[in-house]
Amino acid sequence: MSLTILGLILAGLLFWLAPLLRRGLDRLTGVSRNQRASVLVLSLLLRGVVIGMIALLWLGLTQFRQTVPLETRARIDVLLDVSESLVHGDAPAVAEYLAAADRLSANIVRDLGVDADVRKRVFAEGSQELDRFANGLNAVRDLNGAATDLSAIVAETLAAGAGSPAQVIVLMTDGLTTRQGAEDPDQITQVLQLLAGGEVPVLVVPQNGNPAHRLERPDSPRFIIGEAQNLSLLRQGDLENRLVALPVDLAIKPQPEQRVAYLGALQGEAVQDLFRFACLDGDPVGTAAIIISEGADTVSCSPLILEQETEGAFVQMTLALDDAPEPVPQARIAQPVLPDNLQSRIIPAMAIPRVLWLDGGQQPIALIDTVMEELNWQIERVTPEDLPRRTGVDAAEPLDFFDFDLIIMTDLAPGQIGDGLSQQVLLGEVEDFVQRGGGLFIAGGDETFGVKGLAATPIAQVLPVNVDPKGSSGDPKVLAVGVLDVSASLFYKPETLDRAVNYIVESFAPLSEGSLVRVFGFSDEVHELVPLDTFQGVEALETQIRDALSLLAEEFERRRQLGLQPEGLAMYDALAETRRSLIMAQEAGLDLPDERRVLIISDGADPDLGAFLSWRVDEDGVFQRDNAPALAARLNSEDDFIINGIAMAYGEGSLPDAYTVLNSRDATLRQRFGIASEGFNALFNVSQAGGGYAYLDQFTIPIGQLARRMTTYKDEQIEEPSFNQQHRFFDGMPVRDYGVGAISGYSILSARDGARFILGQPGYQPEEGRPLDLALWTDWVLTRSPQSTAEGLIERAALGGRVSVLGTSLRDGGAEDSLSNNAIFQVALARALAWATRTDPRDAVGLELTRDSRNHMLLALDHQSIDPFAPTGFVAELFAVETGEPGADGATAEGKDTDADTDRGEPLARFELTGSERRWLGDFGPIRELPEVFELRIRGEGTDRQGRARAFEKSGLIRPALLHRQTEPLALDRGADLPSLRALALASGGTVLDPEDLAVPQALVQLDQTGTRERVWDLTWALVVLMITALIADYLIREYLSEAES
Amino acid sequence: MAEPMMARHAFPLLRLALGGLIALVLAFGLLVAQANRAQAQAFDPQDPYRRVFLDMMLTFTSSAERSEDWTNDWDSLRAARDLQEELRLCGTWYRTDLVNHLLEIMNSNKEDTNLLVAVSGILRAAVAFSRMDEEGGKLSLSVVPDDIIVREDIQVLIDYITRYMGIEDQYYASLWFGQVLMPRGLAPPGLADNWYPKAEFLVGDLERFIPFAETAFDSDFLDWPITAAMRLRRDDLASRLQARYDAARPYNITKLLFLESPTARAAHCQGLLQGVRDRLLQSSQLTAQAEAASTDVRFASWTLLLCGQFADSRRSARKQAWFRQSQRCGFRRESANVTDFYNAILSGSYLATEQRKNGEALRSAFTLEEIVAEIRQVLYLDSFTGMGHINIVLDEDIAMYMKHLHGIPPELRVVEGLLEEARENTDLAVRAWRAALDSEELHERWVITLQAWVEAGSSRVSIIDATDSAG
Repeated sequence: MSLTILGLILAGLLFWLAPLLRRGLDRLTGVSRNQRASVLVLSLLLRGVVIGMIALLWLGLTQFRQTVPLETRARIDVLLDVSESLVHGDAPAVAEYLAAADRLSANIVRDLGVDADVRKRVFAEGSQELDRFANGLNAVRDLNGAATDLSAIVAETLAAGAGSPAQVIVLMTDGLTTRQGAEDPDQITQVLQLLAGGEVPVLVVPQNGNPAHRLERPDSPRFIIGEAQNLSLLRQGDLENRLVALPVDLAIKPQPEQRVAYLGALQGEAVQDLFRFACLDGDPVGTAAIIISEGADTVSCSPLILEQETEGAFVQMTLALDDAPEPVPQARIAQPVLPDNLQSRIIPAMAIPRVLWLDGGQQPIALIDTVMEELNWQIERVTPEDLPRRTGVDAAEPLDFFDFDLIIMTDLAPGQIGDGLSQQVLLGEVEDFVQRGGGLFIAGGDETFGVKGLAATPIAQVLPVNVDPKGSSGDPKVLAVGVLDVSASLFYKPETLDRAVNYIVESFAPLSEGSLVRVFGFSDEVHELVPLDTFQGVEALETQIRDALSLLAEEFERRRQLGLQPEGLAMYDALAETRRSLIMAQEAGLDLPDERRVLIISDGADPDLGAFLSWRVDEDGVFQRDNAPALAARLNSEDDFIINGIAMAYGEGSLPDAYTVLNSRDATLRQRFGIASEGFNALFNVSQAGGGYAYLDQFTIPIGQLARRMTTYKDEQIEEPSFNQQHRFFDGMPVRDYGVGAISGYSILSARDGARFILGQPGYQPEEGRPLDLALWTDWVLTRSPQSTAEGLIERAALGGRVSVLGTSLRDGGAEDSLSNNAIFQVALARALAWATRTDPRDAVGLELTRDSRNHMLLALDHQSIDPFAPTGFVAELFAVETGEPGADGATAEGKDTDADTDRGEPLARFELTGSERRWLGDFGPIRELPEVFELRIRGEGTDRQGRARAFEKSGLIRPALLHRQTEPLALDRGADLPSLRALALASGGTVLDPEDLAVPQALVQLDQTGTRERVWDLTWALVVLMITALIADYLIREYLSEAES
Repeated sequence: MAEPMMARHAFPLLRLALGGLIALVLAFGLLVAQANRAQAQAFDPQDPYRRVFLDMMLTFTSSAERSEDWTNDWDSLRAARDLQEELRLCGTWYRTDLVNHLLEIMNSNKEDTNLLVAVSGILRAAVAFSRMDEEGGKLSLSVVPDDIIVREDIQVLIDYITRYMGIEDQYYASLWFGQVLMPRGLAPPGLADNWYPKAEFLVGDLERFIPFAETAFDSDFLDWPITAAMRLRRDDLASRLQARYDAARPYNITKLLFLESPTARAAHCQGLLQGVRDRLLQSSQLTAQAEAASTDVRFASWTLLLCGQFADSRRSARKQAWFRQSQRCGFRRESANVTDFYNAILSGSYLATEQRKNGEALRSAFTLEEIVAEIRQVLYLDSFTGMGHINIVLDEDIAMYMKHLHGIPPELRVVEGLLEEARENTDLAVRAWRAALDSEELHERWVITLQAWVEAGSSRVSIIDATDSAG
């Protein structure tokens, strides 16, 4: 407004000064003019009008309003997919693709028949807006076409169009989100969610790939390698070669006549005999070539089995189409010479499984050795006694469970492993190993699982069945004795003591009605806290304990003033006092339950070793030594007590399990743990001798279940088990012929929730208990990767799980009629082991070797470790490989020394990859400067969970000439993903259009034209015009006046 | 040309390896020594006084007397070294004094064979006495010529030996040394004025102690002269001594024996207990660890027992016993082991009585079982001193103090019977047990046991499962 005012002031000045200026000019130039009366009149008139108008405007009329009818336009977003599954920026006919899109969008807009704003956008992983697609050549090159982010572009378009009266999206895409054309249901689901409701209809124009829009020889077949399959696809007969099964599809432009393709894989020096697989529409196993029928566009091959014996961790796969298929077949093509008629991919090969065999028995188990030999797996046998030394930090070559794929435990008793802490840590590590994908196979009798067995150890958490508590049937009455350490070191740590009381209360909470309870405090003498009586509920128990403790605190205060603080817990005496509970019960006339439990909660930091030992002199004066574990063992064997313990660690809060603490970097936690561990070990020894288990400051199992004892399955044997003979587990096993009665049977069952008794026993209910004297338990609660459908899951579970448990020992002497000598059982065992081993290697290194447009060879490394291995660097080294000329049959020279362990000499090149965590990248430089073939060795370095340096190495042979260009689409001729596109169109209320025959629905877009809108005129410019008019008028009048004067 | 080079290089390598090996051996030796040390420090109920020490001394002197010059004799040197190693592991000031003096004599007189033989004889006697071999010991001592015994260094040696025996509860050794040397006028003053009379009081003849009682009073005899006089029914002497005692220390323990009225005794106890409390509290403040035992509460349990604080007395006694047991071989690892045990037993029997009277019959029976187990333990320990304490416990602690102050409940009768049995007075033992039975107050478990004991005339019958009373 200030500008207007300034203009007005200026106009006013000029208005009045203009005649004077004019006169001045005339004077200067010496011109003299005439003046007429009419001019004067006109001028005066104009001035009057102008002044009037200015005044009017000035007083407020700056706007003029008018109501007019409203006209609306729809918004049409045309989205064109330029990802590499469809088009490549450098392809010769790419402009044609874009121009066709322009034409197509113009036709669609026209057919829609509405007034519209058309916006055009090309997209792949990113997107770019264009006024015409034909101008988008550079955009196609700039966008990363390796993948398509369909959901992002749709979301972006919807957001941009929000608020427009109507919006239509025209989507020109093939619906494939990766270059390989793999299905990506997640993407599609996201898009469907975005479009659901049909507010913005999508007209999908499916784009089928056209070879002319891609680079180079479009007639070459492409191959699509799926995710490595697990073993579920394998059947009997595949056990010898089961490790990497790659489903391979060949995609090819339909050929006018029958052709031959050759698939080769180079692993190490050797050319793999890959022709052990069959392709549909192709030749059966054993031929050298894949016959591609006339007109076929895809050839699906059965999983490709890679041999494991050969060296190297990478396999370079090549595929070539023979241009001159006659005569068929060419021997085999291993080393194609011309790079442009084949392509290759690098895939990781799984190593030979490594098996750790923890064997607690003495005599050898020939069966396991035999099975391992047959499977050709590497096995390392370690005795449990050796474990703490082998896994210790000061071990020269520490044994790391995670280096193995399968752990076999036979007849292992946790007590063999060493002290309590070692047991908890090592068994905790085994559990962690399983949780992270490792396999576990356990065989042993009920001793192995019951008391002093695995029942209360961390292993129990991964057992496929719950080991039944002894007497779990019928909710038994229990005599539960709680022994609370009230020595000064614990009593005067309120938070720790409080937690200790809670442990007792929580442990005793599930006691059944009629149980007997006694809780006494112990330092060097007895302090009865809860006298022996029937259990009155957990609240009453807690009140009693806390009241008694506060009274005890007063008494301790009195004693403190005498210097008689309570001593440390005399474990031996406490146990002796425990035993007196039986006499007390008799004296009080209470029914003594058969189930007797002791829970000792003591100060883990205060191992009173003096009180751990004891000596006495018998009535004959004979000196006798004794110690707490021995007394505990007598309590267990003679009086049926099961003794459990919880060792307290000073400080706030319970401790996590030992294994977690040792791998934690929390100094406080480790310190608490360290202080408490010595006392814990003492308590553990006592507990274990007493048939139970001890925990380090954690509440794990209620006392009723502590030290669970497995009921023996032999008691519940069923005479003639019947089998579901259709079950795939029995494929190839002569169940029918052999006669099932020869062995009492297998069952595969899981007692966990949702488990099924898979063998078809009529009317069987899991709660009936195990019906057979041999149970192969499998666990399908722990799923294998990759995920599958529910049906698939069960199917796999039926075949075996990562944890298999055999409820009988394999040490049965191997006599003729023994189990381990039974042929069916041997196959079953081999199968169970094969199923238990993990399918993902500890360090999976996905390697992508590509050639870019500069012809540089690029390496992308995707590292995945199943345990927290933190890589700090990867080093790639190139070594020369001397190769002979390929033989006539295409195979590399055979019989050459290819020992991988021999000194490879100096590397040709060595560089560090850049990246972090999972993704690492490197550039080998121009492909022309690389040797024809070289060995690539990748060395990964990093730290493991405990901060120790760890490294691994993988190597393989690379032939750079066989690398395909990164830009070549692998989804060639896959065609558009029509089902997804249809779903998409349907969800949005749109339709799928056929580009050849456009049938655009007319009524799709309705525009409402009945509205009105207000038009507003801004009169500020009129003011300016008026001023100019006034100036002109003034000029004229001055002109006239000056002329008149002259 | 190459070979000499190699040799030159090889030599330092060899030396290095050797050095490493030696270091390894040394380290291993150190570890073994550490382990031995730990073992030696632990309380060993089967040799609580670690009498292996005496044997080592004797091994050394015997070896030395046979050799011409023991400082050049490998066996003797090794024996001497073993002795020093033993001192390092389990040395006390009185052991160290003894060994140092012995070595000095042996070294300065290494050519005087007669002297070496005499020293060996004296040690042989000491070893024999500690093994309760009175005759052998006296014979060994009798062949040592008087002129050697009177030598000043030998007098000091005997003084050190008897001091060692006295401190380590080997009362019979002191007694028999005294019996041999006193008549010959060869006893060193320490033996004559202290260890010998003490031994007469504890394990010898009270009549022979009395002459010393009066003259030696005010030394560290404490209340023994008074109780000895009372036991011999020489009340005038006892009263006289007590009067002197009262003048020196108003709050003394024996005064309780002269106070008849419970009120007066209670008043006196107040003073005694105050002293105990002060000492206990002081000691508890001295120590950083709440559970660490006090150092100077030696008589607390006894005073508490006399003044009727049985639970605290037992606690204190047991604590002392544990504390001493946990000590390394050193000062305060001596006789009090046994005394503390006996105190705990006496206070425990009254505690059992209290529990019974409070209606905790079963708990009382358990306590009594514990006590019986402890009696068996202490008798085992006391056997290493030749039952050096049992007389004072029976004849003085129970017969005088307990009877006078608290009476004798059936629980104490059980204890008394067991102790009398150990003193081989089976009749008295059975009488005590029968008295306990007659009271008809004990728990059924004990009634059964005592009946069996009385019938068998021995406690060597097991009725109750021994492990019930373990601990």
